[in-house]
Amino acid sequence: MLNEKKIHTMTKLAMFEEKKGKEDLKINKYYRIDYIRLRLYNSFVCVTIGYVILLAAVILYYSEYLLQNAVKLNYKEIGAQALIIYIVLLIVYGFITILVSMYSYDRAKKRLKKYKKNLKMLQQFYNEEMESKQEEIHDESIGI
Amino acid sequence: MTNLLEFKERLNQIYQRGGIYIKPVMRFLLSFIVFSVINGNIGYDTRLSSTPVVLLLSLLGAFTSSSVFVLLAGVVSVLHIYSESVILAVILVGMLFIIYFLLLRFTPQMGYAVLAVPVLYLLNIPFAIPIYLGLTSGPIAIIPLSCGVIIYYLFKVIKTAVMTNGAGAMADVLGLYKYVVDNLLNNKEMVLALVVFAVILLLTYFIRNLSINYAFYIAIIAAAVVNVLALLMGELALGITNQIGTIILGSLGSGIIVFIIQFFRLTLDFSTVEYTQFEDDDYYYYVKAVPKVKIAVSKKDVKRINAQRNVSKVRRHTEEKADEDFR
Repeated sequence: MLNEKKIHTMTKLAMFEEKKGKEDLKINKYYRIDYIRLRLYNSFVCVTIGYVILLAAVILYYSEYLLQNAVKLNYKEIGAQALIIYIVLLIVYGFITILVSMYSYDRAKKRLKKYKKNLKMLQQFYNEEMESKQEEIHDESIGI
Repeated sequence: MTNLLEFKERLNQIYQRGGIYIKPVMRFLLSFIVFSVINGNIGYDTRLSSTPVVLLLSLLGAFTSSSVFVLLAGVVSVLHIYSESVILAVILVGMLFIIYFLLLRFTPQMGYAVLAVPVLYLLNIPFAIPIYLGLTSGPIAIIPLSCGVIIYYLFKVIKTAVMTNGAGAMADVLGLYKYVVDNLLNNKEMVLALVVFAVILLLTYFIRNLSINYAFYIAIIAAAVVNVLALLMGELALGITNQIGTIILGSLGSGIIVFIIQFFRLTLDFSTVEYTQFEDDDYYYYVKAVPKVKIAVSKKDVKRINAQRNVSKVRRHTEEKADEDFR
């Protein structure tokens, strides 16, 4: 026998899982702080790679000047400046990443509330089915 | 007006029934256009520009995700440049990486916007994107938009470098590099474009969020007007006077195109048939979910004629409702 309400609920759940909910469910596997930490690491790695390439590009651009004045340059000062810029970049990007990932985590949790409600409903249906089956068996054994 | 709505309704039905086939076909056409435009502009490698390859690439583009498609377009472009000058290709890749890691990494889902900017520039309707993104997205789209503009001008500079470099011999590496960087960073046209794009995006976004009727359409018109004005002012101020006519026409064209897209957007967004399957202890279920067509019915005039009273008009006016569950 087809329970239409149950099918309706199951359809909603399946469609959510396959389309809109995919990302949310992935995010949900993490605790909030772990998710933020993950995104933060990701962001740091990207910023570092990008900065290294940028530095290489800048050095290449000024390579003539650098070669000409190789002896006279204050490497400490230049190095310190490059490092400071790097740290500032890390802080800025890190800050933005934390804000954004907190926001998306909370949004995902919110969307999952409905999903969980439907899951509970589905569980209800299963429970009812189990009960009615047990009643049938009981009735049969008594001989009704 | 009713005819347009009927037409929209008809399209809607067609899309519903055939949606699952129409989508890949549309994506194939789009990929084909993109790759043809790329080949037409920087198609230095004749093997890549040949029709079978283009068709194959378009086929790939039709069935892969949009990020893969953007990547594909990028790789093809770099390969074209590589066939002309290795150095320029390396420079190009380096700059693309910088843009990616420091800027683009943070809006992965908007990769298509970055690709769309250069392509639409080549089709002379670049401003359709900031208007469109202002309607559908928000200020965050400034990132992929700006990246797109920078990438467009980067390719422009590299293209000029290829042409002036002649037979692509192992020319002065540093000279080439400096040439590219200088022309990119001191590019007044690019700065103007960045500013205008940002302005249009924000303008469209703010107008569309106002709670007035037809806010979307007003936003598009306002954006197109501001677009033309800003470009004119900017070009006069910076002393660039090339191709003003094309630019104005292009801006108007962009506005019109977005107008048309907006008209169809709200229906097509929600109208595809969806398939899913699942099982329980007793059955396997194969579900086909067909969305109900809820379309704005235009104002109906119902005349009530009563023997004793005068004719009175009753107007009914239903609005589009989107399904609330899981939207």
